[in-house]
Amino acid sequence: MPAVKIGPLTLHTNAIGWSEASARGFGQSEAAGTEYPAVVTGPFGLEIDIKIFMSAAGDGMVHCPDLSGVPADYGRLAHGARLGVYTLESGDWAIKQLRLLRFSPSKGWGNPTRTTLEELDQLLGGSTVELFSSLGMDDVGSRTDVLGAKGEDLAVRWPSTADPELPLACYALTRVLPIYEALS
Amino acid sequence: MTSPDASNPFPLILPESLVLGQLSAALGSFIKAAAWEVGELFDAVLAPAFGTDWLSEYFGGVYKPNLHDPDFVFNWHQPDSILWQALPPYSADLKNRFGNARRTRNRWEHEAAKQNVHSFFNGVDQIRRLADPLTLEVAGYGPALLERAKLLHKAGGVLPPSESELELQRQKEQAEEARREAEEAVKMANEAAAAADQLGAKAAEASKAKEQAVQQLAQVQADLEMLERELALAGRTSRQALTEPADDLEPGEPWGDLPLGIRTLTLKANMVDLMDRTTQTLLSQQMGSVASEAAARWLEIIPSGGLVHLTPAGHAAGQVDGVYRYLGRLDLVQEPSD
Repeated sequence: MPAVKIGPLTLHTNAIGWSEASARGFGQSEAAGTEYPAVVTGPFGLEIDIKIFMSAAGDGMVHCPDLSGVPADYGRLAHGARLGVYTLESGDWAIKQLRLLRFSPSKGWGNPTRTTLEELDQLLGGSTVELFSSLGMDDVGSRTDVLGAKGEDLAVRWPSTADPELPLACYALTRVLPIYEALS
Repeated sequence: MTSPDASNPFPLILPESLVLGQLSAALGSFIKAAAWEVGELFDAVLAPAFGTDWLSEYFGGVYKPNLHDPDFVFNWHQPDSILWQALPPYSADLKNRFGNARRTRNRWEHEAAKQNVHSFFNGVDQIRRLADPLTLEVAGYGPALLERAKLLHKAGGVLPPSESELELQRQKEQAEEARREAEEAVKMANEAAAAADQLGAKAAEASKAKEQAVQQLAQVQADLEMLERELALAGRTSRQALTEPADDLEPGEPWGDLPLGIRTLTLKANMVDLMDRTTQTLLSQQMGSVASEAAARWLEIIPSGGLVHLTPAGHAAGQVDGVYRYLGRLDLVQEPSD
């Protein structure tokens, strides 16, 4: 897959493929599964290592597992702010809460909260739906529309057979880009 | 460009990057080659007129100057100097051009550490401004140096890919575009076939169109892979044509005092790949498996990865415990010698 442009950032993956790995899940317990690494680059030599990890049980996340792969200003990313990825009963994969990190440069911290496609479009400087569609997305919208679940958060669904770029791009858009913009 | 006299011992050195050492060597080749040629010109005219010992007789003091020494050749020669007999008619302008060439030489000889790309352009221009009116054979060095430096400047300080690599890159981009179109055609054919199935009509026709689209995609994919292989080969050939001191090193050995390559890469342990820090592209995307294979070899020496310096010939150096070590050559698998 060629590099994916996400506003001023670029998501790079290569042909290394999924490999066996373990990671601390949301419950802080160590889980076995597989992972796919990627790197996000941006102006002024920005380079941030990220990964998607999917546990054998079916749940996973996109995260920055290693503080050494993150510039100091982006240290927040190595301390949580992970993006959950879930396997649905249909076998599809989904992000059940696509939230946007609200980053304060003075505090060097922030947390993800509910967002909208309009807000993401503005951040991206383009169409979020088009970006996600080009990466294999089946559906994006409210949790009700996409998952038939309660709540006003955005959700994204895609076939598990798709390449790993879509969830990685979701992370770059909602975690890395807001910090980049806040620091700019 | 006119070829300089074959006897001139200073061939043109074109810089491979915009680091000071490269610029100094490049401008130095022009200065020394021009001084050599003017020295020869002096001797060719003055020896028959004043005898073979003219240099000692007219310019000797405690030391006899060296005929080809830029320190002797480039000077504000006075109007009554016999040297003007070997030169175009005396003029204050030409005398000043000799003087400016001297200033340039002194700057790059005695204050080399203070020089930069800007003073390199100026220096080349000053030597050229003397070489042109004297119609020196080496006058062609000037435009060649300026052209190379401009090319390097545009390319961010390092030698960009060769013309053949660029042509292949263009072809690859076209092939990628064709692949995207073919993929789109397959998608549309799939949709048409599904729609035809639903309608129960023209199903065979839609199925045939789909088959053709799939075949076209396979062909485009094969073309693209062939171009990627050719591109990698062209890059390797142009890099391997260069010889460098690091040719003698073996992977893992200390890099020592050799100049570090100006092109910097991040050796990515997680992805087993190399990120070009200037262009922010993964080398595996540019070069295919060559890059990931090199990354795998180099990670055996630096398991955590990190910053790597790459020379124009593809030799890599990276820090291990604070010491730069030779990692290997991008395109070559080196067997350790006994």
